[in-house]
Amino acid sequence: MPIAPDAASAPAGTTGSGIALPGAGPAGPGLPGTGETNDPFDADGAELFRMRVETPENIVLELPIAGVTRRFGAWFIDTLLRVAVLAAAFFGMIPLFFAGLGGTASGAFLLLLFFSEWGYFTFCEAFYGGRTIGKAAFGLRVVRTDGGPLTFWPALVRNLLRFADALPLLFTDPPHIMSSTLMPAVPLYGLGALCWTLSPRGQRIGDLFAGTVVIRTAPATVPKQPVILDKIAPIDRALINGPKPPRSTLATVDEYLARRGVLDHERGHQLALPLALAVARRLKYGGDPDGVRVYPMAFLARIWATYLRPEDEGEETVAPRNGRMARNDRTKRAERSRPR
Amino acid sequence: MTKRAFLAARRPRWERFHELLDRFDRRSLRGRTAAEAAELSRGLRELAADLATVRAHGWGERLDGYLNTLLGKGHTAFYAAPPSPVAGFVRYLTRGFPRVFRKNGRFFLVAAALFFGPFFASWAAVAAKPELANRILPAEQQAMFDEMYAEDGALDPDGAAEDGRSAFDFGDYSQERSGMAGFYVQHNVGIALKCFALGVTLGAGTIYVLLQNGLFLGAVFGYAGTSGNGERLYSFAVTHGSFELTAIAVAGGAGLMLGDALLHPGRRSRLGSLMVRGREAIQVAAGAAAMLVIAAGLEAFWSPAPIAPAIKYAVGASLWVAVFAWLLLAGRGGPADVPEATR
Repeated sequence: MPIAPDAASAPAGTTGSGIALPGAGPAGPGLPGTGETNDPFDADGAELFRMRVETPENIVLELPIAGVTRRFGAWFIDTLLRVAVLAAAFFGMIPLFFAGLGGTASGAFLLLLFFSEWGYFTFCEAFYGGRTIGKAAFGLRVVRTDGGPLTFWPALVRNLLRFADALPLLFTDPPHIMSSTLMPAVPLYGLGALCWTLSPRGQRIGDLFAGTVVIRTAPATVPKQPVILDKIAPIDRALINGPKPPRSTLATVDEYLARRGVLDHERGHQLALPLALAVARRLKYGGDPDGVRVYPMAFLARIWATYLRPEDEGEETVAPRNGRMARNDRTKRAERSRPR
Repeated sequence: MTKRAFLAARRPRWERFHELLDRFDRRSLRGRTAAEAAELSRGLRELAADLATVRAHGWGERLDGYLNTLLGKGHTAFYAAPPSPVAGFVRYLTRGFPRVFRKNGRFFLVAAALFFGPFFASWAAVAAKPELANRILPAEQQAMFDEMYAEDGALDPDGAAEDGRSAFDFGDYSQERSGMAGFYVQHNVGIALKCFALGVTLGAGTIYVLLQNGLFLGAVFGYAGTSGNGERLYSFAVTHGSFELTAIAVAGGAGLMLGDALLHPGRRSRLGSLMVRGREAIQVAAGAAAMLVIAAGLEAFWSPAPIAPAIKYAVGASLWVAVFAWLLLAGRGGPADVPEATR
């Protein structure tokens, strides 16, 4: 009995790719698989939406790259903040004019304007761990392309070249030889966005010259373990005609079931269907294919009960350091993994 | 070991590491104890080993992602940037900047030719044929300069006439100077930094800014000379010009370095070339910005002061010598510093 042909498109041995897992990686569920594998050395260090760096602990860190939207949001917050401070300073200096200190006040205001234009981003990023206030609000951080911390000079490079990234400028006022102070041009960040799109690590021109990347810092939450009712029975051995699915596939099943609670019933089945069909096809499942197609979540739970529950229970027998039980467990497992 | 046993055994350690990170984040470097740093270091290595275990067993993207995120946070906390000492700025001005400037002197020479060439050419042209000024300076600007540099204008050492003010009306003389200081910083340093940043257009933007400013300033000088205000403008400009005009060429040179890094990567990859040369160019540009801040102070408080032109010329000339002595001689010899670019 053939199972739906699209199941073949889910490559076994890869995790996350091809199978629309909710929130699987920053690529999001809507994008096709990026061909990502577990081999940390398969990419040249630059992969779509992620950057790989090797740390001194000899582990490959994957840093998620910040998108244009978040970066715009961060910039917008920073700009609102700068404008608010400048506006407060502007109104604050009005009484000083009446006190005859108008020159000093406007000189100080222009210095503040200069700092806000050319210094704010640099000093925030150089002395606040690669973040500005807006970047911190959007969970962004600037790091070097080797994953190291941002220091003063690179921060200065990327933020002085911000002027080039900000081109073209939209003049709200006709450009004049004495550039207008109170009606500044609006930066459209056209060059920056173009460069972001073309660069594999999402770098704008300033980032390229400074050797920096803007990454996202997601909050770390421990993944849940699936809760499977005891009454869910393993699949009958007689119905299984293929080899045991690879660990990565089982891990995907495990994770899917752990996150099942966040999906409603219908969507849960929708998302489970390609995975369930791929697993069923691999196992050459001899049971009712309509059962798999109509209740793919239930099928996945049974897969879990077949392959992953014994592992969990096996662990409990090993834990008390009871030699005999442990040996029993090993023989049991050997039996199970014997090719059928 | 199964995934569940692994989780049960390791999870408390990860949570402990998370707590430690939070505490580490909140406190400044000074408030952290050696014991905490040691624990963080140990935790970081444990976490790396755990992540390797998870990846080797294929225990899933979510767990992998969690440990990866946690390790990333630990990485940024542990390998943090060294604090930047204020003394570094002084050393940069006395050693680092002149050195990196000389190393890339040829870019400065080209930029200087692109700036001073049109400057003197348009000065000479306008001085010889005053009507040429109309080609460069719009009538309203000519009127503004007439007013500024006139007998009772803002630059008259004997003090400006009460009604002879330009657009900048800040109150009394010292107040006006303070206001102008802010303006010079904001305006001039801004132009120099834009000139530098436009170097990423393969140098075209930088060349345009240099030529345009050279032509314009030269025309102003020529125009002031032919309209009888030359003495006041020259004695006004000579002092801060040493820093200001040189700095424009320095910033232009830094911009040309960016363009050159794009065009001629040499033996490096183009990206590598951008990073290495960009790091040098920024140190030149930052020096130009510092020079312009000095120039703004001079321009606001010394240049318009009621001092005899002869003294101003003498001080100005010695400052020109001093600026080039600083650029050409400072930081020679002595121990080879760790190049600023690598820090």
